[in-house]
Amino acid sequence: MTSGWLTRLAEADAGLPDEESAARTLAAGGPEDRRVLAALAATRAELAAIPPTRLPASVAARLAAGLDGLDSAAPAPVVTLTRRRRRPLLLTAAAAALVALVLLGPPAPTPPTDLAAAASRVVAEGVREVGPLADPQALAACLARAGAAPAGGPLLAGRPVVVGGREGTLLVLGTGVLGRVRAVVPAADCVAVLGDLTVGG
Amino acid sequence: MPVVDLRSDPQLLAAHRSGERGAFDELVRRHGDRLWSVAYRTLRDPEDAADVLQEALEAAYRRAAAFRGESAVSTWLHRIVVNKCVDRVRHDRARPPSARRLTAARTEREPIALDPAERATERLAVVDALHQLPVEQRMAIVLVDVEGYPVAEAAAILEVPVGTVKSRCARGRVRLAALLGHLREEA
Repeated sequence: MTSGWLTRLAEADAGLPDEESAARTLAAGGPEDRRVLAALAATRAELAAIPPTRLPASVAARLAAGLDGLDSAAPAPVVTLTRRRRRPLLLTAAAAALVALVLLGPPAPTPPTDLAAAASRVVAEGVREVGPLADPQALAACLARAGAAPAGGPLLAGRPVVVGGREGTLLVLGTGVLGRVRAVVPAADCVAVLGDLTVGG
Repeated sequence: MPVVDLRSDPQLLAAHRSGERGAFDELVRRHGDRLWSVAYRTLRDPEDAADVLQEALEAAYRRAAAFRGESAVSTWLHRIVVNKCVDRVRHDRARPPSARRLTAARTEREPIALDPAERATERLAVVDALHQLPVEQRMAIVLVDVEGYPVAEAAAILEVPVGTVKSRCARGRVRLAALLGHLREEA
């Protein structure tokens, strides 16, 4: 048995120099060739049986922290969440509603936007950092003052954001329709609407 | 169950280039497991794999504007990880493992916690044998035989012809078959 012969056989096993020639080489092989091919097959099987591995949580956290550090050098974003980074994902009822929106929605839902992406993230993180707007009356008054349509459902999630350089509060509201939510951003002083988008359903 | 972002990889990368924070994070969420797997199976040491993955993703984050769409985003990300792995192996050849483990950054960090099943794989003979291959063969074997990538995709990731991937796999398999006792290799 020579290493050259072994290599030629292994290359034929791998489809070299081309599939047709390789097939001829393999078909013409004797018992010793077949023994080698069986050994190569056993080797491939052992390699394929190495269990899959997943990104460890601690490494994911390091990566997130590293990328967070780079964020400060990134171009000015369209929508910036004033955020606490990377909470564990808590699937609240609100998150379930948005998941339903995404998973059960029509094949071509409302085109994704920065606002929709930001809303998804806020819901996924289970964040309700909306200050006084947590009070339904205050929320209704703010939307009215800003000239936005009134809330058609409960507040699901929210967080301070910056849209186009202006500070506001992203509010993700239920709409009373399964799978449809509204992401609306009144300015911090409630004098304008910085974004208003209904998605799903 | 995380919320699903329906945007394609190229759309996410474009959003990242436009300054949308979180778009690149979504790419990491999508591909992180496979990128980690390639790095970890190639380097074996979880700290090395974590370092390389971090370097690679930060490089990808910064170089996003250079992505021309000539390959899939996942291929591009894998290519950066693979190149960092090769660099790491070559750089570390002359350094004993103890020297690598005692860098200041590492002594400040919590060790990476792998689950017990993962720890058990480190003791597999095939994992040990894989680590004895030259890095080019190891890389091809990891992509094709361990991770199950089609040869054409492995070639795109490694930026070599398909025949080169097949040849590296063939030579690597012969060496592994000998190391694992499946066949006797003679000079």
